[in-house]
Parts: sequence; structure tokens; C-alpha cells
Amino acid sequence: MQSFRSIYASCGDDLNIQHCAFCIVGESSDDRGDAAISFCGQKSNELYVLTYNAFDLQYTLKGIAYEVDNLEPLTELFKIGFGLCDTTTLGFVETLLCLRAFKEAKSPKIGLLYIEPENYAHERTAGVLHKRDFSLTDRSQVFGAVPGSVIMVTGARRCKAAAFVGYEGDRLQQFLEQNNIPGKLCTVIYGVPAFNSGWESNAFANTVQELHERGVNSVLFAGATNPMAAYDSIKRLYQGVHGDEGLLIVPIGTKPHGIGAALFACDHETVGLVYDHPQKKKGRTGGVGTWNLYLPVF
Amino acid sequence: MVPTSEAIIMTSNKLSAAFTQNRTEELSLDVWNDFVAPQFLPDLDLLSATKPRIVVGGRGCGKTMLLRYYSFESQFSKRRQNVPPEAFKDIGLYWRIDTQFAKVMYSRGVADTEWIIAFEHFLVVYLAIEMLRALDAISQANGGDQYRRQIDKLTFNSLNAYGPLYVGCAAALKEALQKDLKAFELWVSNVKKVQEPIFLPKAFLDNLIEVIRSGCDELRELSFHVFVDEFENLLPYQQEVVNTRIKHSQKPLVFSIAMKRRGFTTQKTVGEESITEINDYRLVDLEDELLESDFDLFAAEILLLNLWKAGFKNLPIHVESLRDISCLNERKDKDYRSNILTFVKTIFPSLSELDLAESILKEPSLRNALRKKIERALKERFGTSEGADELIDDDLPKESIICPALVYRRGLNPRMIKEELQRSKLGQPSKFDNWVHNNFIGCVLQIYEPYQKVCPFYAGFSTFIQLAKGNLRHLLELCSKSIGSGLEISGDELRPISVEIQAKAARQASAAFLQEVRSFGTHGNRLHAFVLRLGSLFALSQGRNGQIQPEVNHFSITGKSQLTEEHNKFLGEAVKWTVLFEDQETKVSRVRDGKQANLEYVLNPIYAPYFNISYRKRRRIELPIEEFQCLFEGDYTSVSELLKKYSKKWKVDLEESNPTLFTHLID
Repeated sequence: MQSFRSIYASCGDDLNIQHCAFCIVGESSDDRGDAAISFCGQKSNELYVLTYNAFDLQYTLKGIAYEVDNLEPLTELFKIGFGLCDTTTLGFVETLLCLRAFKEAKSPKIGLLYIEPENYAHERTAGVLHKRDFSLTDRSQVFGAVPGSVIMVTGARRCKAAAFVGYEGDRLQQFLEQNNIPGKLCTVIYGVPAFNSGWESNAFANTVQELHERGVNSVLFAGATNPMAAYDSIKRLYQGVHGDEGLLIVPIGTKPHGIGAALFACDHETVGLVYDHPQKKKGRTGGVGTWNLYLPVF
Repeated sequence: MVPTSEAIIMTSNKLSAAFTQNRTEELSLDVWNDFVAPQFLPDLDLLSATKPRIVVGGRGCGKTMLLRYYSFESQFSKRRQNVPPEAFKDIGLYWRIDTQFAKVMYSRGVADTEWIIAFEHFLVVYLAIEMLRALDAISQANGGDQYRRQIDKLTFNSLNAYGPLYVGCAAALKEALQKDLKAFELWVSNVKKVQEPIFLPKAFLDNLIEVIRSGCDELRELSFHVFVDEFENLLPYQQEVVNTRIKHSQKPLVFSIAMKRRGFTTQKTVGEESITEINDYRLVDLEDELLESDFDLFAAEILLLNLWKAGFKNLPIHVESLRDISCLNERKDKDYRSNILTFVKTIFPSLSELDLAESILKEPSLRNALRKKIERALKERFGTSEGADELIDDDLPKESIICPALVYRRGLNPRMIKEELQRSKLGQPSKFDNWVHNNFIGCVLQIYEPYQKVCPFYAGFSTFIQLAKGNLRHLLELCSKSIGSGLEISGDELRPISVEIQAKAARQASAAFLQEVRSFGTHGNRLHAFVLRLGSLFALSQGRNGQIQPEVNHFSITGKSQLTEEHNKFLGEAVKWTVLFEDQETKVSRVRDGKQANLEYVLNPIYAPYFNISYRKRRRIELPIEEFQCLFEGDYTSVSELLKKYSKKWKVDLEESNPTLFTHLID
């Protein structure tokens, strides 16, 4: 990556985004998603929904399904001109596909929009059971490799993990359980400073027990809204990988952290990415917080 | 000598480290120093049998440890002083296929038939590398000198029929194959951008083995036994490929697998056939084997080994004997058993029922709680709470504990209860003999329930054994949490850990394992919600005043024939992840409609401390199909209605009940 700029503002108009050739969005599940899609609709007449199906290993663009390894339709799109991708509504893999296509297209400019939540349904794992604990939540997802960034973890080959974490301690638990990477080879990266001061304490509270039980001793911090801080955290760990060792990145923290992870994977084809593709929960976040625009250049 | 605080901290850290590693995955591939041979090990015959084995068991029962013990990394460990000659005949290769990697070997514009060949190639290349690594391990093993000389002279030039790079010595061949594996990894990552490698057939492995056998006199009878772990994580076609290897297993290459119960997605092969038990493989249920052999002793030995690794040497074990199969008979000795169990039970003491009852009467808040229960029962049934104190007798503590339940029983009144108390006091036969047997534990749990104090019923090594139910990881976690909170060291001696600390540790471990249910595959969240719902129902039953059905912790489903495929699949998942255990219905007093006894489902006892219910399998609840459906897929409103219905039916006052579990029903 040649350069990276980030701009933030209290509303979309203050980001000074000119007209876009096209916008790529996901599906909205909250206020900020609605706001982002509406904003994108104002910036371009060409608004495309991109979704990824982890089960079929396909993505859908303009209503047509393509194999995930076939990036040509997306790449062709980025050759048209400046594309604005709304990462508020796009999932991690969708964001990664956009960045890969942008790089492949050798397009000069891409914009990644991200709106922070104003408030979050803080779900600290408390002692007293709440009615939500009895609710049938979405199916748990199993971690799978992301095509294009696949590495093999074997007993004989040492593999380290860099896991960005957010509030959901069970996602980290799921990753550590499924992938059999010893705790001592894992580094957990928290979003500090958080979106709002004090929010990081929920992430700590929901994960600290798991870190202790798994013997995870390596912890880093990267600003929750700062993709480059995430990128630099991974870079630091990557520099400690030698010989045949592998590095697995687990982007289950904030979306900006996911952007940082995706950028790093675009620059380093030998790292692995694993993801659990959670289903979005409606009403999980509320309000429209700070607007961020990230401008990477490959 | 009084240990310095620094020494205590260092010991505490070592203990913590020794017990944190209660997952085999945290250990290296060489588990020679960590393995304790169970008594049934020779019967498994994993390393010499021609017929494949399928080892099943829940998480934490020791499947991975067992397979890694038999792998060449452990068998030829440098820590193994004397490697017997027979060890060089049958070589174990452990393979845990990387799930996240395996799951992307699918679709993506590659034909299914091509993926099958690709997966077979993956298997061939990986195992070929492992075979060559095994030769390295043999060369460096104690007693391996004669093999090293011959292995060093091996050349694999005859394999160049598969490609020009498959030539030379073992090291050169391994390097070529490692490049193949890397190329395969790159191709799987980018099937469109990277050129498809040339896939090697299974015959490559056969030829490789033949070169080794014919090139090394000492290894002419060499066989490889492949152990595929976590088989349940493979995609269906991948399972078919491995099933095919099982079907056609014969020396010198035999495939065995390990998986959770119900781990087969398919038993088909890539051909038309399927694999079947007896004909094609022998099934080993590791948890059954553990429970039927002396699990108490085995678990105690593992615990002591962990303490030894943490630096305590004054222990009644001989570490080398624990892993030596020739010492199995010594470990069956009665005195040896008695010493070991006495030792661990001293560190993890429990309270007898009498101690438990006395401790309640001695503790003012609990004694007061008991009296209040009796008063309430008397008031509800007889309009007055007078006479409560006459039903508490310090000379009859166990009997006193169950009096609240007896007062609620129709057919009994205070006069009758007092008469039976008197008989007991005089040492005469009394109905209390039976009443105490049936109701004591239920009543004890009721007394503790509304408070945040954890019941000492959950303390003690014998109790931990029952809570763990054959799961070594659960047992070690219970011990670990107790040790972490309350182990005191006096010189070289380990002091007993108080029952209060143990009980608290049991509650913490129970809560942690309950939380872990969320990570149990794609159904984890649903399983977690189901356990909470079911456990709450059992906890409500526990709160019934008359203890009519004490210690309920399992259920059967009436109208089972109406269960849908989805229900059965979910129950299968629950059994697979040992959230529930499946048993034949007990105490079927009559045959219903001429049918066989039903299945009953037991909640894993490890969750009992969290719900403050019994871990002993005593009573079940029969759930009508509609109620099971509600617990399985009902929304919160219908579940809370069901729980409230039962609380009303059983006259359980929610406001007096465990606030952790029932506050949400009151709000």
C-alpha cells in the first residue's frame, strides 16, 4: 500500500466526497446502515449491493452470484472510476473483495465509508441471567478460511494468530476452540481507544477469562477507529514470523480493524485470514455516530 | 521450613501453568511425559491391529492425547529412555486436519470430482512427509542407531516415476514433498490464479512404504497406522475419502479415526460401498472405557502427575510407571490404589452427609433458614408456625434437615414426624431411614439456594469425579480452580483445600463450561439457550417444597414419535457435544403400548453446580412433546410462561429462589 488517509466528521456532507462513479453497499440492520446507504444513494446513481455467502463460497453483485475466486466482475467495476464502499453495511469479506478488486483494477482511488455507532447494546457477561440469554439467537458460525488468504495450520508447522476482538467473547472462544492454536502463540488486539470512552471495558470483561484460561499472554492495543493502527499491529507480529511459520489473522473486532486486516492481507499474500461470518443482529447498535472516510492507495 | 512468599508465588505460577495446559492442543506433539496409560490401553490395540479403530468420545475425554501418545513423536521421544524393538515395527502418524483449510476445498468453480482427487493428493503428500519425519525420529531415538545407519542409506529414486523431483535420500524427498504441500496450499488459496498442481495418487504412499521396507532390513516389517483426529469436522466428500482408506486398510497402511459421538456425516466411500462396524472397523467408546475401568484412580494419577510437573515431588506416584504399559498390573495393586486415592481425597476432602447436616445447624444463617422453612411449612399446612423448634434436633442433624419437606407431605403431620424422630433418637427403626436416603440432598440444596453461598455438596474429589463423568478436562479444571483459589503449601506438603473453596471452584468451573457451550459448532448458541432453559426447569423442580420428586436432572419425552427430523438432529448435536447424555429409560414400571423403553436425556452433571441441582442421576421429568418443543424452539415469552406454569404447579416462590436464575421471570 502506498498511502492511507482518513477523514472524520460529524456528518456525511462534511466528508466532502465528490460524485462517485458507483457505490457498493451491504444490507442495513440499523440506523447508521440506513444513513450510510442513503448517503451513498446521493453520491451516485449506481448503487450496488454486494453480499458474500460463506457456505457456497460465492459473492452476489447486482443480483448475480459469482465464485469467490472470480473477481473479474468486481474488478471491471473499479476500472470505471472512483468507487465508494460502505463498510458500515458491508461485511469483512465483502470489504476485502472490494479492496482486492480495486488493487487488481489498478484504479487510482477508492473510498471506504464507515459510520460509528452512537450507542451499543452493552452485553457484558453478567452473573444474573437476562431474558436475552434465553432467546434463540442466531446460529453460531464456524470459522473458515477466506479464499485468497488461506494457510494450512498443521501440528508440525508453527502458526501464530493475531485476533482483533470486540465485545463478543464467545467469538474469540470459538476461534481458539476450533483452530487449536496454543494460547501462547496468540496475540489479542483490543480496540483502544474505543469508539466512546469506557466501551473498551466491556471487551475486556467479556474476554479476560478466556485469555487467562487459554494462557494468552500477548496483548496489543490499536485505536478502534484506526485501520492503520490495526495494520501496524499485524505488521509488528508479522515481523516476528520466521521461516515456515504462518500468521493467521482473525478480524473479529471493529470494522476499521477489519479494514486494516484486509489491507494487510492485500499487501501480504502469505498471511491467512479466518472469519466466522456472523449474522447481523437487528437493533444491536443505535444511533449515528462519527462518519469516517478511509482512502487507501495501492 | 516455612516457604518464603516468593517461593509460594513461584509454586503458584507453576501450578497455574501445569493446570492451564489441560487441553492436549496446548502441549507439543511429543506427549510422552504427559501421558498416563489407562488400564484398558492394551485392549485398544491401536498400534498393532490390522482392523481400523474408530475412537469416539466427547470433548475432553482424552482422544487426542491417546492418538498423540501413539504417534511417532511420542513413541520415539528423546525423553523415552528405552525404546523397545517392537516400537519400530508399527509407527503411528497423527493427523488433525486443519478444519478452516479443509472447509474451503469445496465448490469455487472446481468440480466435485476434482476436489476429491485434490483431497486425496493432500492426504498423500501430508502423510508422505509424516512418514519421512517418522524415519528422522526413529534415527534419533534411543535404541535407533542400527536403524539410522540403514535409513541414511535409503534412496527413493524409484519414485521418480511420479516426477523428477522424487529422488534421492529421505531428506531430499521430504524437501520435494514440502514444496508440493506449499504449492497445494497456494493453489487452494487461489484456485483461479495459481496453476493446479499435479496430483499424486494413493499408490505413491504404497510405493514409498515399499522402498523403506525393502531398503532397510531392520524395517522390513514396518507398518504405518494413520490416526485422523476430529473426523467430524471434515466435509462429506472428505469423510468419504477417509472412509475409503478405512475400508481398504491393511498392513502396512492402516487408517483409524477419532471423532465425537455421531460424528459421521456419511459412512459411504467414494465407491458404492459403505463402511460398517465389525466388518470394516472396531468402535471404541473412550468415555465408556474410562468409566468402566477405574476412572477414579486414573483421574487421580493424572492429577498427581500435574502436581509433579508443577514441582511437587513428595507424591505417592512413580512417574515413569504411569506411562509404562508393562507397569499396568502394579497399578492395579490394592494398596497402591488406596494410597493414591487417600492422598488426593486428603487434598480435596468432602463432607459426609452427617458433616453437611451438622455444618448447616452450626451456621447461624443456615440454621435460621431451616427454621424459617419449617415455620412456613407449618403455617401453610396447619395454620400455625408453632412447634418448629421441636423439629430441629442437634442430635439428629440429617433428620432435622428434611423436616421442612416432610411437613409439606400430605399424610404426615408434626406429631407423626416427632414420633419418628423419637424412634431415630432411640436407635430404633424409623421411617427417617428411608426419608433421609431419598430427600436429604434435595433439602440441603434447597437451604442453600436463595443465598450466594455455594453448597459444599459440590466439594470433594469423589464429587468432582461424578461432576466430570469421564471427562478428564472437566475434572482437571475443577481441581485447577480449587488449587488456584485455595491450595496451601507447608514445606513439601500440600494442605487440604477447604470444602467452601472447592464448592466455589465447582460453581465457577460450571459457569465457565456452560458459557463454552456457545462455541459448540453451528448450533452452539441454541444449545446454550436450551441448557439454560432446561437447567432452569430442573432448578425449579429442586425448589418444590415437599421434595416430591427430589434431584431431578434428566428428562424423557412423551409422544416421542412426533419428534421431527430437526428435533432429532438437535438432540443428536446435544449428545455429540455431551451437553446431554443419552440413556435407556430406567425404572420403566410398565411397558407403554407394548413398546420398548424410551430414551432419556441426562443433563451433563458439570452444569449442576451452576443451577444448584443434583449431579446424581435420580429422578427424571417426563416432558410432553409440546413442552420439549417449547424448550427447543420456543421464543422467550413461551419459555417464561412454561417456567412460570411449573413454578405455580410446584408452588415455588420465585422471589425466594435463586436470583441468578429467576430474576428475569419476576421483572
